[in-house]
Amino acid sequence: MPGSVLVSLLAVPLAALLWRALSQNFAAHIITHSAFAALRISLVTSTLTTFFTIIIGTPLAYALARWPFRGRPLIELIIDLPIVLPPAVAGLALLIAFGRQGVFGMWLGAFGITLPFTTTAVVIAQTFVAAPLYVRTARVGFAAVDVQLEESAYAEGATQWQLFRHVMLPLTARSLLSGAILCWTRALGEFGATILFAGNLEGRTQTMPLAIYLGFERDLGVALALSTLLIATSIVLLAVLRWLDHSTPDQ
Amino acid sequence: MTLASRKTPPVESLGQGLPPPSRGRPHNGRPQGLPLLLRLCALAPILLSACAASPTPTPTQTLTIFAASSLLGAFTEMGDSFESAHPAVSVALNFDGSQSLRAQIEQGAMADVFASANAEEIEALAAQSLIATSQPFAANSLIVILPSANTAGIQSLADLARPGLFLVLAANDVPVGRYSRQALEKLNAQFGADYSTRVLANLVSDESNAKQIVAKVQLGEADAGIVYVSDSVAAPDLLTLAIPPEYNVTAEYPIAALANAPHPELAAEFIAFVLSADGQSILEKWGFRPVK
Amino acid sequence: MNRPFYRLANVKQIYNGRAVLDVENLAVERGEILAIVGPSGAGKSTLLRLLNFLETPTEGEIVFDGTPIPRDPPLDLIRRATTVFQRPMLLNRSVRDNVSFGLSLRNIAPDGRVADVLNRVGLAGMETAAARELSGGEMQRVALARALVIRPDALLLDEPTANLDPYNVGLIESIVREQNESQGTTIVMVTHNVFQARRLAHRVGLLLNGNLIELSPTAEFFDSPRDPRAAVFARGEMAY
Ligand SMILES: Nc1ncnc2c1ncn2[C@@H]1O[C@H](COP(=O)(O)OP(=O)(O)OP(=O)(O)O)[C@@H](O)[C@H]1O
Ligand SMILES: [Mg+2]
Repeated sequence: MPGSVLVSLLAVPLAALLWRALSQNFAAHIITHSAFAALRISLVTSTLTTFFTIIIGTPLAYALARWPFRGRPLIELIIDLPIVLPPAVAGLALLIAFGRQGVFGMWLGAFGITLPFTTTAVVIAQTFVAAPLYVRTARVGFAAVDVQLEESAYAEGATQWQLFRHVMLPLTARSLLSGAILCWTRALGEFGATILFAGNLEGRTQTMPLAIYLGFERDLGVALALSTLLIATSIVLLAVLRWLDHSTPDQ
Repeated sequence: MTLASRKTPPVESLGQGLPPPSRGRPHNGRPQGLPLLLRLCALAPILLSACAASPTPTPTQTLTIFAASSLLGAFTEMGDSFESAHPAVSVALNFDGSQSLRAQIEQGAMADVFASANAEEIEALAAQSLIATSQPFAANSLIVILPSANTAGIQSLADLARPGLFLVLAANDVPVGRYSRQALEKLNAQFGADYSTRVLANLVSDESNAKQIVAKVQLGEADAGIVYVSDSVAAPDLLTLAIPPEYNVTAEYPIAALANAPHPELAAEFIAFVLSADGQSILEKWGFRPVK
Repeated sequence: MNRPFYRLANVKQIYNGRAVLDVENLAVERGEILAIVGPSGAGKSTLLRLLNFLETPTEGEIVFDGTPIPRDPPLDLIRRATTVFQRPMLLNRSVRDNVSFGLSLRNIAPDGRVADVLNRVGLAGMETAAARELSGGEMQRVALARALVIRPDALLLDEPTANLDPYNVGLIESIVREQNESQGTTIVMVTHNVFQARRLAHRVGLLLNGNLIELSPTAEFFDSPRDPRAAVFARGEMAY
């Protein structure tokens, strides 16, 4: 069956990598200072990215699902673009916009704010590539809620916030969580935009994927150990996603 | 052309009379700008593989050359010259970091010739009998590059230690990054024992290769970077600060035919061409120094 | 003072350039039950949505208990009217949680109100049942209880008995009548069932293509309508 060829193509390299990593001294490599610093930066930045995305992306997704405002198709296009763009393009675009010589970056510079090569830049790069995944998922979740359910709550005297908190949130929690996990996983794996926009400095901007990439030049053991950790985290998160998709829906 | 001729403040004179920043490369007959595609390669290594191969339709034999990324311009031209001299041969070029190329060869990639940016990779392959003999064919030394606007106002190597600058180097694990740090240490003799420490305090990013450094300096995101002279030649819009030979670090590039090269005679011919006067002048044009 | 509870003057609702509702003049009297009948697409639901502040009219003015409804009506105004829809819209929680929903929105302690209202709709003792697992008639009575528990000044009903069996229809009609008589709640009820209109309403209005072509006391609407189209409708002969 040709399908098994594709499945093998996907599974064999990952299995080989895991086997190789675990047959080396996994623990010794993961306890190195660099690996630990990369792990810390990755966790902090991807969590911040997901946090900001939820705060800002949720109302946006709701508006996109419900309000037929002018320019909505344009906004939807803007949100979908980063999903298909190569990350290197994203990083270049971010530099040209928010870099020290960038259109917006020069203006920020006047206030003494410099973004490139900072941990903030890592969060921005991750948000650029990962937030669209959350907004898309949340938008679909909101759109699936029966409009009459909302109107009925509104007719009963709910404020916008109460409507969201008591009607929309329970019904869309699953979608929002799925979106948040997708966003988080993508942020955790972000490489191309980060290395261009934020650079690579241990303890400040070097995330796990960057450390893995540089590990090729240095110590393959560290790269293998970090890869294993990244794969394990992704497997757990994807399993949670699957569980969310398959347990009975709320509506 | 010096900065002084560009209405910027005169270069502060240093005790030892280090050369002032100069525009473009310090060699003669530099190539007049690069095709856009080549520039893009500098920005996104992902694109590298896309613009590396350049087959022609007629040839019967394909000579595969693995070459260090810094040889991109020189070896592209070298390949073209070789093809014109051998109409039946097509030269396929694969540019990547020397370590990556070595790994590819170790994993069984088929190649005829390997031109590395350092001896270690060649030695490692020789230890595995994947290479019989090698010889140096070019030398490359280091240079400081500055963005053309030089907003940080860097006039001398001493300025690199000024706090608050954004400096990008290659990572210490990458040869050019290791050489850069060695050169900075040597410069301690000139600028004081803590010079290299102060310069490295300005480091904002450990890049994976010189092209990334060039890109960040070109965009003005970094105030300064250290790369091979050949890298600065490929980016003629940059300002440069020369590092005097006594403090500089020279990288010798070795070239070798692979033990299991599909076309051993052609491989030998190509290496001979690289070492010939014609080959050496191409290398010189791209910022390399000939080896005697 | 006997001013009307709702007054609509030259109200037009236009969707995509088409006026789906065009009411020159309509006064809903305080404490009456007004039935609105009419074929599908006549604009009945649109009228109720306007009365419940779910939409603002494209043109014209609606006065609610003496206050002209502004474009962005204040919460305390919105909270004086509520709607029961044809499809019961219930939260996936217990009957009690559903019924006390409107109270919790207003930060009112449920106390005895929930039990009292469940008693009136014949669902006493069902507090802990899962609302979404009830029968259609029971669900609609929970929806009605949700509306009654907040003691609205205006109760809007959009075909609340359309899918129900005669027993539940009768039950709901008697609850509606009782609410009107004991609390004096102003009720506007949209129905396809002319007989229901006849049983419950004080006055009946007929909407056709967005126009209110007849509005008269119930007896008059059925016995001596002014508009010949209303006569056809009243006899249950209008094909739609
Ligand atoms: N949001 C909207 N956008 C565009 N047209 C709409 C919208 N809502 C309703 N309409 C149209 O307005 C007209 C009146 O709709 P309305 O729901 O008020 O009819 P109705 O009298 O309640 O019909 P039914 O008896 O089938 O419920 C219909 O033709 C409908 O298609
Ligand atoms: Mg309707």
